[in-house]
Amino acid sequence: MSTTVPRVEAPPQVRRLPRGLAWLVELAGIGVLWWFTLQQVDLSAMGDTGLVSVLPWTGYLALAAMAVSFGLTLAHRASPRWLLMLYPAVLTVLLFVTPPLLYGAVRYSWTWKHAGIIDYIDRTGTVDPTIGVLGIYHNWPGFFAFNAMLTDLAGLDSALSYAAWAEVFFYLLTVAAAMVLLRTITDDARTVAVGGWLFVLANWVGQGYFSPQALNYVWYLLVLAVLIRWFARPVPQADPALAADADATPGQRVALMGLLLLLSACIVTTHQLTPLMLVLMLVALAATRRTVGWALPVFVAVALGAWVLYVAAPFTQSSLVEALGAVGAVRGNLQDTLIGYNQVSSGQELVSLVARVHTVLIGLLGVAGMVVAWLRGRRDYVPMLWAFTPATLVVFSPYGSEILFRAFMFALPGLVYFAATLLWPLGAAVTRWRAAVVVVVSCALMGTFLLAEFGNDRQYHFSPGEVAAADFVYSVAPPGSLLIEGSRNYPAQFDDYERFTYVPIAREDAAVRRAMVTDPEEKLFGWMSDTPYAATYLIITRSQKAETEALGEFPGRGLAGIETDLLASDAFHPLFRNRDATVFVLAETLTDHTTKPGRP
Amino acid sequence: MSRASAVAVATAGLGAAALVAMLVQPGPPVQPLLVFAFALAAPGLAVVGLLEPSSLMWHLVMGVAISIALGVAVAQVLLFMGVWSPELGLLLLVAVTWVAAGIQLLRPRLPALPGLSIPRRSS
Repeated sequence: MSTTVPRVEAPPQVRRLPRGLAWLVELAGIGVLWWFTLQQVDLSAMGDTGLVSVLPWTGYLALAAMAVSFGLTLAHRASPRWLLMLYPAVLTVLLFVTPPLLYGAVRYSWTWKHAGIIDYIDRTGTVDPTIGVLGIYHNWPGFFAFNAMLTDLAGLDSALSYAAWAEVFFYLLTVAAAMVLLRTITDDARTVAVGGWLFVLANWVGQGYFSPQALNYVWYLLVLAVLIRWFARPVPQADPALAADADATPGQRVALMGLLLLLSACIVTTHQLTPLMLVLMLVALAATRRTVGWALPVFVAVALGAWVLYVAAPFTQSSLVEALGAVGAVRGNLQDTLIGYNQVSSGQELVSLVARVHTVLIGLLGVAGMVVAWLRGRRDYVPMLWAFTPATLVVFSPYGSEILFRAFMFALPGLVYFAATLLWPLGAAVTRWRAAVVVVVSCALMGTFLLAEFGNDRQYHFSPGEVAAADFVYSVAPPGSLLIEGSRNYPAQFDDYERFTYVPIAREDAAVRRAMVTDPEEKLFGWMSDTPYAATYLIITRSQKAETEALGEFPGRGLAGIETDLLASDAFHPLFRNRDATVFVLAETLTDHTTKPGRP
Repeated sequence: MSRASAVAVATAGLGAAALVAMLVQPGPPVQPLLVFAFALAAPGLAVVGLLEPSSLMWHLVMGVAISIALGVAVAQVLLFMGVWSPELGLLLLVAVTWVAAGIQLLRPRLPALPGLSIPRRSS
């Protein structure tokens, strides 16, 4: 007789994706939602709060989902280190692919000017340190020379072919360098990931575009990382608390110093502000005995002096008085930074206010983290120096109005380190409530970041119509022409830039601007007739109008009124016109413009 | 094959591809892709690889940063010496890459550069 034992059915196996793959699928889903959001954006409806004014609700949903996904990954004990580090990078891509995907043409008028310097080097194979327009770039030409080389070798017509995507590249490189720097002072993957994540959301000052500053910031962060990791006091061999094999071999240290010298030399020769910041930071680290020796700060200071006084002498001689006048002008620098609210539009007032609130929030998080760390007995002097030394830039720099924001940018590594230790203390247990706090703080910062970073995009982005108008002008204007511009804010100076004279109306005295709005026909006829120039053009574009309206630079009807009056005038002829731009010439010179060939 | 050796082979190959792109000029998208991939990554990855870094993240980030620094240095030297030539610039960068990759492949294995984090007492 046999008995049959009833079989207990095993619970059905749920086939799950491997954990890492599941997170990747989740991130891909968020990416698709963001891409879908961008398809729904109507750029023509953009108001004076920039991208925020036209971003559909799905965009906010995607960002919130991103924050929640990061929180879940933090809360999962088995989350691999690489996945934690991936989140700040994915957030960076999500945010900064937006301008190139949405706008097409590269944003920021300065990017177009940078392309103009690259075009100059590509055409002539030289720089002209004494040139009157954009001369500063000819005296610190490294970034532009490298891009001229790349453009030529790649067979491209202009650096504008890739400049829009450079923003994604530089922001990604920057956040990666910031996380490398954070890892030199803590091995806690969650603290580093939260630090990198906060760094992305804190870095709103818009210096990651196609510019020498973007590249120099990466180099600056990496110089600090190498210095703190391999040239810090106490030296590992002398400290019994540190592993005996934690340090590099003598040969490796020599090679690392070689890399530091290369990066420092490149910083000195490609930018004006970063080497000053680097010297201040190196001196602070050496003077407080956080790093070994004075060789590097002395080298950078001497190299900086030599470059400024010898190689860049043509520029320095003309600007030294102005620069020296700004040294110590703390009050002036601070006041310049503060926009007069009675002039700006309400939307721009909001953007400006939110940007400052955002800055203060990051600062408060950093300071709170610092205080908590101190109370817990941690004496993190190195990140304190990262956070506080940049404040001295306000005393030394001739940058005027921008300096507070640049100082904030250089202080970010220290601030986000302490903010990260506040949200995720070093070695803290993995708990859901801690991850939830990170999600809540992230969502709040995302809101203010969007306004601070993209709130000015109505004037910072350029439409195809504006680019077409600029292309037209540069294709027909003979060398020696006068280009009168509503303001500097439009695609300009990117092609044969040195062959023209530029006069932006918005830079004129208030009385001139007022007279221009009152009777543009008479005023501009006077400007455009009887000049020694080969030809004269007046360019008014959508982004110029947006900027001057936002900043309140013209009274009354502003640039739009000037354009309307000139269109109705018999004395002016719109040589080129589309929805977003008009190029005027004097009607009496029309025959010249239609018979004279443009530039070859 | 170690990671550093694999990187040496890859960067040397990218250098060769960039040279071919310069000579053949296939146009976009191949030419910009090869030139940018080489110039933005290869020289620095090869040079930094000589340190045998144990941190992949540091190797990648430092490699890209050093690549651009070498490119900037070469471009500035050509500019200020009055011998501007993008082709010569590429040749110099490829030479640096090949020398670094050659050393990496031919020399005996060295101790790895320790990682980014060390246990550190409060300073």
